[in-house]
Amino acid sequence: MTKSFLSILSIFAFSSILYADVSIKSESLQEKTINKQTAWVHAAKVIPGTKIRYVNTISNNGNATAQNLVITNSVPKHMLYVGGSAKCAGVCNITYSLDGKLFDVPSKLFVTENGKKRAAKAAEYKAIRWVVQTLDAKQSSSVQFDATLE
Amino acid sequence: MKKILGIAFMMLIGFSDAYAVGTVAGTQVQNSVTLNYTVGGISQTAINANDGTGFLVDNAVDFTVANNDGAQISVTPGSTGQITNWTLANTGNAAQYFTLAAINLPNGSTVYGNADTADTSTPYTITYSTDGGATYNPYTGAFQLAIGASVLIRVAADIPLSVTNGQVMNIQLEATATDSGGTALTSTIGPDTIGSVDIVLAEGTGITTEGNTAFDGQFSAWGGYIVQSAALAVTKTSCVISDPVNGTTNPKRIPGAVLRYQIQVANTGTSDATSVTVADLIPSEFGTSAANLDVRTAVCPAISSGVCGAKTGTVETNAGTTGAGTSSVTLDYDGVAAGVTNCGYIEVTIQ
Repeated sequence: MTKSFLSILSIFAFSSILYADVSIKSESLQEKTINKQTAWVHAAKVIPGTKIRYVNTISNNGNATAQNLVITNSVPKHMLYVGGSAKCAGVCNITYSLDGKLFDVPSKLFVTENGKKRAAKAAEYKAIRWVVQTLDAKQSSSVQFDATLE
Repeated sequence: MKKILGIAFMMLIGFSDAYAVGTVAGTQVQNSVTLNYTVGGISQTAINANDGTGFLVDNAVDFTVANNDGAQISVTPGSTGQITNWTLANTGNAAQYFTLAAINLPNGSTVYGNADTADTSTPYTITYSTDGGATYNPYTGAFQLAIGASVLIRVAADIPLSVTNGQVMNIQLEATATDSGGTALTSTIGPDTIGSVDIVLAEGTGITTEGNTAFDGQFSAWGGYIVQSAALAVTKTSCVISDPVNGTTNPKRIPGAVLRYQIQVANTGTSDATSVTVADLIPSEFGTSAANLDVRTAVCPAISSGVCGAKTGTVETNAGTTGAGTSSVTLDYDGVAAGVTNCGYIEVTIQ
């Protein structure tokens, strides 16, 4: 009896597989005033100059902590990144890229114009990267940035 | 749809692409994001996501009208087909139809610092150029303007003969965004229509005091005309030069006395007067004694106690006289420039 019970326990113990069921959802939102209150709603009525907020929500429905989550978002074509708008819920490291390949902090991003090197403008960023160290099981978080339609 | 747009673009007009218009209406903008992560130090399969189909860029109807003259156009009373110059630019993100209307502004409307004081004749004639001003075509109704393009517009007006120097006739040119049939556009009401390109009237205010407000699908600019005409004032005086008894010392107007008529022509207007002549019928009391006809480039000399003063100025170039020795005299002042005064002289003898 005791032996049988221990055997069942061991089966349960060894079958408990650690996994992280991570997903990501992207939304494009635009600011709208409703009853004199500002809200971010699904981007729909968009004309040149409209600011869009892109929100990427990451969720971990697994039973293990996901680590080193790297979220890479190219700035969509026709959109211009709004400087300082990239954020995350919690702690993260944000870098930017001028070519979608090499990422760095703004102070280290330069472009050459008319033979002269200058600091890159936010509107010239082509991609944004967030690095979130951990996302615990059954938890969600989000990263976001704003961009303006050309 | 794309083919239709392509054909439409071939039919579009306009000569300039200098106007920034932003992302073209109908463009689909989609966001894509990639997530990489590890579990227990082991890299997992990357996950890609996007924001559904993103969104379609809507039609921001935006355009401007400007008067190009920089000031009222100088006109003379009775002149016809006087042209003011304008530019209509499509700064929206789609090809757009427009209608035009030239409107007489009410008195008091101030353009370029000059308040309206008179009206042009109406209707106006509107023409537009799609080739930078090389040729102008009659405006007959709604026409389409390509993205970023502009047209030069002329509004021609006739100037009434009754207007006077310095009067101002201001006009407004109003462009309205329309459909191909000339019906004014309105913004799509309510929430965005998913998957379609909605209309968003996005033009600025233009001139607001004549009914155009921002986002009403209309844009206006003001220009106008100012009358620049000659204003001639003619003054006739007489004085005595000599008589048979006193000579030139305190002469009296007795038979045999020589009188002088001084006919002063002053141009107080803002335009030069040309071909100025003054005809004078000599009274019968002087017979055909008219003599020493003369026109000079100065004001008429002062008359002191009825006695003539000395002539000043020089004989005006191209001036002339006819009629000496007859009862009908003509003094030809030629041109009298704005702000200039000339004096004509006729001497007669009392019979």
